[in-house]
Amino acid sequence: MAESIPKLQIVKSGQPPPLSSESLDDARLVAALRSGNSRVGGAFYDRTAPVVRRTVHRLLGSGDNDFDDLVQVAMIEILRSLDRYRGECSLDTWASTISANLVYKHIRRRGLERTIFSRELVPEDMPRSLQPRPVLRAMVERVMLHIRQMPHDRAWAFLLHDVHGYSLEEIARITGTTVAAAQSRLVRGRHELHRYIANDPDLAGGLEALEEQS
Amino acid sequence: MTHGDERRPTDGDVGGSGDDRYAQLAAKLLAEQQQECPRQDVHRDAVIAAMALVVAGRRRRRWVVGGASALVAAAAVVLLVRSPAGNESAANPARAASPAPESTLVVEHETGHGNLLVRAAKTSPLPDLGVLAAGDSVRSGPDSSATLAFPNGTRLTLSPNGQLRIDDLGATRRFSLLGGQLQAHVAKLGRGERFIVTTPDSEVEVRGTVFSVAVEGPTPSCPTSSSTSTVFVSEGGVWVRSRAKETVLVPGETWITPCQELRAPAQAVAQAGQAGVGMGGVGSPLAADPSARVNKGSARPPAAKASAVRAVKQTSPSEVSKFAPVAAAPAPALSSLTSAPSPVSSLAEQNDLFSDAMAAERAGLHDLALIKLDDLLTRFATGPLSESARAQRERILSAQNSR
Repeated sequence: MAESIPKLQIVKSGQPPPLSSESLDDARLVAALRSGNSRVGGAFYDRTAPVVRRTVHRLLGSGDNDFDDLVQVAMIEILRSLDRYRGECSLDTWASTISANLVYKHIRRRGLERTIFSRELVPEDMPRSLQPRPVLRAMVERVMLHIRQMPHDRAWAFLLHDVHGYSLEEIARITGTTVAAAQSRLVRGRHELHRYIANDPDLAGGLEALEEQS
Repeated sequence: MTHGDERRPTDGDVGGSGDDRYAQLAAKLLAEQQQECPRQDVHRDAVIAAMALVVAGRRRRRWVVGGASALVAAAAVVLLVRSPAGNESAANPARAASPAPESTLVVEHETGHGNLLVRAAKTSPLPDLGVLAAGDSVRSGPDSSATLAFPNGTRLTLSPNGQLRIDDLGATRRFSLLGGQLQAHVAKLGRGERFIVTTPDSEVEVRGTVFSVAVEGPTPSCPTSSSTSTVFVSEGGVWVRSRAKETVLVPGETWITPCQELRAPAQAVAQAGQAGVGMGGVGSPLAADPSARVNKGSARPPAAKASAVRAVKQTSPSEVSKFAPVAAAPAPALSSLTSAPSPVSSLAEQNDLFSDAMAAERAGLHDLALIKLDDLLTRFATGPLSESARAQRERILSAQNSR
C-alpha cells in the first residue's frame, strides 16, 4: 500500500490587493469607503492627505507641535463625515473645510496665546535663497501684529476669506456660524485692519510701494 | 494661494471698498508670502491604520443594521423574478459623456457573485466600484444583490434575481425595474431634479424618500396580468402613476397594481376622474376600492401604523403564501436585509403636528397650539422636533401668563 505523500500547494491569497488612488475617481473612492471597503484606505489617504496637510499647515503654522495630531484627526473626521458629503463640491473643498474647522476649534480650545497669529511664517530649515526678503518679512510680521489686536472672529473671517480663499458659506461652516454673521465679521474685520494699518505710516507706505511695484 | 488651490471665492457682495484698501493689500501680501508645507509625511502608515479602524466600524454598523432589518424582513414583502430579455434593446446604449460628479452612479456594494452588467449588449460581471452609465443594465443573481450609490447619498439596492436598467442620469434620474425588487433610499433632490423608477405597468416618482418597489409575473389572484408591481413607502412620499392614474403614497402605505380582471377599465377611469391627485388619502374612493389595493397604515400613532402594515399582510393570504418560499429560502444575511423594507418613519407625522401647532398659534388659537405641541411631546419625546416643540410651548405659556 503506497504511502500518501503530503503535497504543498501554493494558493492565491484571498486578500485582494489595495487599490491605488490613480485607479479610482472621487466618486468611487467615496462609495467604497461608505460601503466599508478598507482596501481603499491608502488610496483615500494619498488623495486627501495633501489637502489636509496643506490646510493645517497654513492655518496652524509650520512649527506647531500639534500638526501631525491634527492631520490625523482631520483624516478621521473626513472619513466619519462622508455620509454628509453630497458631491456638491469637490472632495478637496470638503476635506479642506473640515480640516479648517478642526484647526479653528483646536486653536480656540488651547487658548489665544498660541494662535494662528503667532505662527512662524518662515521655517527655520528653509534655504536662505528661498526666504522672503527681510523687508517683506518685517512687513508680514507687522501685519500679523495688527491682526492679533483684532477680535478673534473678525481676524479669522479676514484670514480665511481674503488670505486663504474660503467662501462665506465655507467660513460659516468652519466657524459654526451663519453666512450673514461671517459676512459681517469679514467686513468689520477688513475695516478694522485698514484702520490699524492707516495709523501705522511705515507699514501703509510699504504696502503702497509694493502695490506700485507690482 | 487659496485653500485646495482651486479658486478664489466669488462673493461679489463682500468685495473690498475704499475703506479697507490697506486690508486688501495686507491680504495680498500674506497670501503671497505663504510657504508650502515643508514637513515630511512620516505618519502615513499610522494614519491609514487608524482610518482602517473607522472603516471597519462603518462596516460593523452596516451589519448590525442589516441584522435588525433581516428580522423585520421575515414579516415583510417581496419579490420575484421576471426578466424579459428583449428589453435591453430599448435601452440607450450611448454612454453619457463624462457625467458630473453628483451624477456618478457607482457600484457601492455587492453580495454573492452572480451580479452582471449589461452594457452595449455585452454581458460581464458587475465590477466592484464600477461606474455605471445611462443605458447600462444590472442583473442580480439568485443569491446576490447589488447596491448602487450616488455621491449625494442616494442608494439603490437590487435584491436577488432583479434586473434594473439605467435610463437617465441627468437632472432626471430614471430607472426601469424589469424584474425583482429594488429598495431606494433617495436623498433630498435639488431644484429641477427628479427621481423616477418605472416598472412594466407603472411609474414611481419620488422626492427624498425611502421606498421599495417590486415586480412579479402573473399571480394566482390576477392570472391574466403580465406583471404586478408593489410599492411600499417607508419615509417621505411617492407618486405612483399607472394606467393614466396618479396615486400619492405616504409612509406606511403599500400600492399594488390593480388587477384588470377585478376592475373594468371604464370604472377605473371614472374613479380616477373623481379622485384626482392625492386619491390615496383616507376615505378616498381609491382607498375604499379593494381592486385598487392601496393598503394604508393608520395615520397615527406609529405603533398602530406598523400594526396596520402587518394587518395588510394578514388580509392578503394569497400574497403571504406566495412570498413564503422566498422568506424561507436560505440567503445571506445581507441579502435578506436588502429585501426588507425600512421601518415606517414618523418624521412626516411629527412635522405635521408641529406645523399644525404653529398654524394654530399664528391664528391666535393658543390652546389648540398647546394641545398639538403636548401631543407631539408626549408621543415623540425624543424626536428631532421635541426641543423646538418645548421651546415653542414655553413661549406660548409665557405669553399667556403675561396676558
